[in-house]
Order: sequence, then C-alpha cells, then structure tokens
Amino acid sequence: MSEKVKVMIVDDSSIIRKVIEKQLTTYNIEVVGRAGDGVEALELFKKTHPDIVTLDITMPEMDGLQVLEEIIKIDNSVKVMVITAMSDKATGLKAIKLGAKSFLGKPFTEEKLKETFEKLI
Amino acid sequence: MILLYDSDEKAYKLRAIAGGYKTVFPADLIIKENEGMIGKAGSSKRIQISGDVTKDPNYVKKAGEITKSEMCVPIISGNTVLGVLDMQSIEENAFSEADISAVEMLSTQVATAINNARLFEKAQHEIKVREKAEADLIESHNEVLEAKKEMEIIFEELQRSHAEILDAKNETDIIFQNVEEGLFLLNSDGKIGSQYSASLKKMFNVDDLQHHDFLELLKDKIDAKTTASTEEYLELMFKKDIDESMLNELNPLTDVEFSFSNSIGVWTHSSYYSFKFKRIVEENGDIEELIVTVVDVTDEKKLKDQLEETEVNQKRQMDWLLSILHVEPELLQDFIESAQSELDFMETTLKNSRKPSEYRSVLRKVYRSVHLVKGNASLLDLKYFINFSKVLEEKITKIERNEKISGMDFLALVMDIDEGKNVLHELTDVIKRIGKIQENFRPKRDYEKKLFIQTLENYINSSANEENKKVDLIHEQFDSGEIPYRYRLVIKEVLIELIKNSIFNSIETIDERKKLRKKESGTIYISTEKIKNKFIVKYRDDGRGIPVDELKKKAIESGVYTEEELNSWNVQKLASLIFNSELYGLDSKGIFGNRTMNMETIKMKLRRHSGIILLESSGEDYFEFIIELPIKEEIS
Repeated sequence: MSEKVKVMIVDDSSIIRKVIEKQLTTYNIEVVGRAGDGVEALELFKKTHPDIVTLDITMPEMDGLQVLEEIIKIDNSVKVMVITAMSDKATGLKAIKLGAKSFLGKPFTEEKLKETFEKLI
Repeated sequence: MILLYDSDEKAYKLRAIAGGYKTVFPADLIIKENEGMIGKAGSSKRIQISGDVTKDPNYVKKAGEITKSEMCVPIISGNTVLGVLDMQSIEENAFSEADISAVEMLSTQVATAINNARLFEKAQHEIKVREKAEADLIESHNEVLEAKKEMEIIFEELQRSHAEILDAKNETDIIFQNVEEGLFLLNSDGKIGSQYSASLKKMFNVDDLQHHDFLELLKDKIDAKTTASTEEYLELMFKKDIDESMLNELNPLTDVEFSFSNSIGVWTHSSYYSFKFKRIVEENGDIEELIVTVVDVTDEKKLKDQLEETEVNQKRQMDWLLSILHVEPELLQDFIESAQSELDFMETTLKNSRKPSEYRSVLRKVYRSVHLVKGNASLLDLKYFINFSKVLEEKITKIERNEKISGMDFLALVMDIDEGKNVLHELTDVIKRIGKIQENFRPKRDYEKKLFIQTLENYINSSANEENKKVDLIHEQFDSGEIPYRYRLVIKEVLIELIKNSIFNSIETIDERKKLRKKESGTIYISTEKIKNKFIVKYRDDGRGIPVDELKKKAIESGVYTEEELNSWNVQKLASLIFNSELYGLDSKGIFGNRTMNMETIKMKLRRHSGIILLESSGEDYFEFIIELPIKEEIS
C-alpha cells in the first residue's frame, strides 16, 4: 500500500478547516496538523513536515503570504495550495510567485477543491 | 643477410637471408639502430669488418649463431642508408680485400634494386590512387546529376509552397483586417509581434503596435495595481513548471477598464476589455510565445452594471418593504411628510446661502434638520434613513471643523440631500404599490359582507344543532364592509368565541325556552358602529346571561376572594369576574371549561391591536359585550 500523503490545513475558520478535511477524506491522506493562525501554522509545520499544506491567505497574527515564504524557506519541496478570495487575484499571483503550487478561490465547491488537490498529489 | 632500415622504428629488419644461418636467425629479426656491427655500419655509413668477433666490442650475438668473423656493408642510395648487407662466417678472418670490393659493388646494386622496387611500388600505388579518384569522380558526377534532379524537384515544390504561402498570407491578412477581436503574439520580452489584428490598433488607440512593449501600452490606460499584477502574471505564464489552467484563473486582465485621454490628458472615455493568454509551447517544452486574444466587453459590462444597479434598487425596495411593514401607516405617512419638508428646507437653505460669514450658521440649521429626521427615523426604526442622516451629520460636522468653509462644500451636501429626496420618492412609490396590491386582492365589499356573516351563521347553525338548540343571528346593524381590513380576523375570532359561549352556556334549549316563555329560537345580536376614532362591535344574546353564581363559586374556590367579600357585590360587579385572569387556568380553556369564552384569549387578541372588550351589561336573560378598536386614516 502506498504511503499516506501528509496534509496540514491552515485557516482561521474552524468550519472551513473541518470542511476541507471532510471533503479530502476520499484521498489517501493523513491530516498531520490543523492551524488557525500563521504563528501556529509555522510551529506545526516544523513539527509535522507535511507534504501538502492548504493555506488561507487572510489570517490574523501573521498574513498568509508571510507564512508561505517561511514555509518554503524551511522546506522548498512542500506543495502549498493557497486559498484566497476569488476577487483577490493580485494576492494569488504573489503567492504563486513565492512558490505556492496551486490556488483555490473562495467560495469553493467540493468539486473544485478536489480538482485543485488532485493536481498536487 | 639483407636488413632494411625502418625509419619509424629506428631499427634494421631482416628481409632476406641465405646460407647456413637460414634456420638460425628468426624471420622477424630486428637490430636496433646503433646496435652491434650492423647498427654501427648503418649509422657510420662505413663497412664494419671483424676478423675475430669475440674480441670486437661492437659484436652482438643475436641468436644461436657461432660466428667468428663478420662483415657489415651499408646499403646506401644517395646519402640515405637503406639498409645493411651482413655476412657472417664461422671461420676467423674469413673476408679478404677482394671480398670487400665485391660486396661493396653488390651493395650498390642492391641499393639500386631496392630504390627501383620502391619506385615501382610507389608508381603502382599512384596508379591505384588515380584509378580510385577517377572512379570517385564518376560517382560524384552521377551524384551531382541526381542532386540536380532533386534540386529541380525541390525548386518546383518551393514555387508551389511559395504560392500557397502567399495565398495563406492573403487569407491571414483578411482575417487580421476584419476580425473584431484583438489578436497578437507576445514574446518573453513582453513585446508585441509584427503581425496583429487591425482592431487591436483601435483598442489601444495606437497606429503601429509592432514590437511595442505590452506593459508600457497598458500603463497609461489601466490602474497601477492591475498593471503590476499583469507583469507578475506574464512572468509566471512563461514558466513551464506552473500550471496554465490555474494561472488563467488569476488573469488580472478580465473585464478591465481602459481609460482614454485626449492630447492634454483629459479623460475622454472608457472601454472594457478581456484578455486571454495561451502558451505556444516548443517541442522541448519551452514556452516560446503567448497568443493573446482581446474582446471588447464594454456593452456587456454596462448591461451587467445596469442589472446590478437594478438588483440593488430592488433589494433596497424589498428592505424598505420589510422595514416599513412593522410601522403604522399613519406614522409612516407622517414621517415621509416631515422628512420631505426637512429635506426641502435643507436644500433651500444651502442653495440660498450667499455670504461666507453666514455659512456656519447655515450649517447649524441644516444639522438640526438632519437631526430631526434621524430622530423620527429612529423612532420608527427606519434603518436606511437613520444611516442616511448619520452620514449627513458626519459630513456636516467635518465641514464645520474646517477653518474655512466654501460654497463647494455645500455642493456635496446638496447632492446628498437630493439623493435623500429621490429615496423618499421611491419609498412613497413602494407604499402606493402595496396599497394597490392590497386593494386588488381585497374581495369586493358586498361579497365580503356576505362571506363574513355566512361564516358566523354556519358556525351558529352547526353548534346549535349539536346542542339541540335553535339560534338566529340578527345582523342588520352589522356592516362587515366597515371593518378595517386589519381587524377582520380578530373580530371574527372574538365573535366566534362569544357565539360559542352563547350556544353552549347561555342560550337555553328549545324546551327550556318554552318553559321560560321565551321564543323557541335564541337570538344573537351583532352590530357595528364608528364613533370618532373608534370602531365598535356590539354583541348580545338573549340567553341566561353571565352565570354569576358559578362565577362567585369559582372565585371563592380559587381563593382569590372570600364569600363574605363577594356577598357584598352586586350582579354587575359579580359578572365582571368574567374578566378576572386569576380565575383562568394556564391551559387556555374557558373559565368553566373548554366551551366557555376565554376572556383572557379574547383580551390578548384584541390587545395586539390596541383594542378592548367591555361587559356593557348583564342580566338574567342576556348579556352584552362591546368591543372597541382604534381606527386611523389609511395611507392613500
């Protein structure tokens, strides 16, 4: 059996974190961390070394782009899916430039989340 | 033996041997240059003789020879040593002077023979080379003829292709000249290609776009943030490791506004364009160029904006609808009139202010008016107008704080006030429309009247039959059409409650009525009346009235009153116990059970409409209730 893909979910909304986790259960993944802000996200990332991170851009404490930069510095092989408002294309582009591998616009459907996630695994 | 010199190996190699040593020396005998007497003869170009080799330091034994004397004669041609003629004997001093001369002569002849042989060999070689060259030439000539034929074929094809290319170019030119969309190629340096559609010139308002910098073209037409995002987007589009379909979702140039100015920089008009970028990928995966299509979406944008504005207006009207439903129509009317008056006053005051010295005083007057509107709106919880007034108040305060106030400051306020008046006008329209809907859905008056009475009569008949009673409803003085629409339901409910009590408790059976010398049928009287600002409904039956004894008993049982206390009450006062809420349970049943009137229920229903019920009078054979409800002028 192939090894499970380690996933970390970062979003300041606990509901969205639960929704993402639930909608990705069909894949062979293990959710190794759930964080509600950037500072927590970085600490968890260092401990859990996930393969994939879903990262909300607009968060308290530390904004998502900063978190993204720090994550890539720690491990540039990690695949980050940034989640941001559909209308905020500028932030999405900045995130891709900083090294994010994919982008998901809010509000998102289950289908779109899965389509975007499948490109990372 | 004859040894020939090999200049490559710098050694003498055995070529011919005769005599007794034929089987002694190996066929591949090699004597190095300067080795032994043979080497010395070659290097010195002099004959080397040794009568006794055992005493000659130059002698070198090479195989199993038993040589005693040796003579080595160099074979020379010109000044070149070709080899050495070597003679060996098993006897000492075997070679005489005559032998030396003979061998010298022999060596000369051998040199000549060797030279001739070499020349012959060379000549043969040259002949072969020449023959080969001739054959090659013939072959090349044939190849050239073949190539010439192929060239002719290729040339014909080229001519054909050229014609096709010209045709294709003509078609492309036609497409480029006529296509409505903008079409061009963009290279990794951000430059527009040499070919592009004619419409693109119009879109950018530039005559010649060839090799223009795309971002530079955008800079003076779109906002800086979008230009910066476009730069980032294009950079990423040329990176082959980034997914194109994902990037397309982040394309910043969709429905983007292009602003155009005249030669002096004054804005003239705006258009909206959507750009689509697609990678052109080479075989090795590198991205060579992007093909870009541009569509003019100005009309769609305008339509979309109009639709959005309409939606916003509709939502606003719906919000008003919901927010005014809770407001008494009369109060709403008052508010509208008052707000209209205040807004007119504000507008006039602002427009008529001429002297700068009066500006502050004008602002204060206007502020007071706004404050009044806000207060009224707050009373009625009309959120839109509360917010409108707050914003206006803040603006006035901000202007007032300026050291200098100008007429231009008032212009912004006048525009806001004008907007407020438009909104009030819209609100009035909405209310009028509600009124019309109500009117259209209201049943016609005659039908209304009949329906109302029919409902009561049906209830009376069915209930009376159950109790083996006869009851008539007298309603000549009752005009259901006069009942304000909003009270129809509550009045019907109250009347049903009273009728229930009349039939099940008050009005006697046919036999009982006969014994009491009453008409066989019991009677219920209902009437309506309008007095000043009250709508009155009267209800009376000719049954046994309020059961005061039972009420008294109930009151005593409840512990609310003592017997002594109640004994001092007159009949009317005892009858009013029917209104005493302490005698009712919490189970919404009537005072004597489910089939008696529940005054608590009746009072609660009426209270919602600010109405009341009174026991007008009561006797042994009747009771009369009066229901009062306030009436206001409805908004027309």
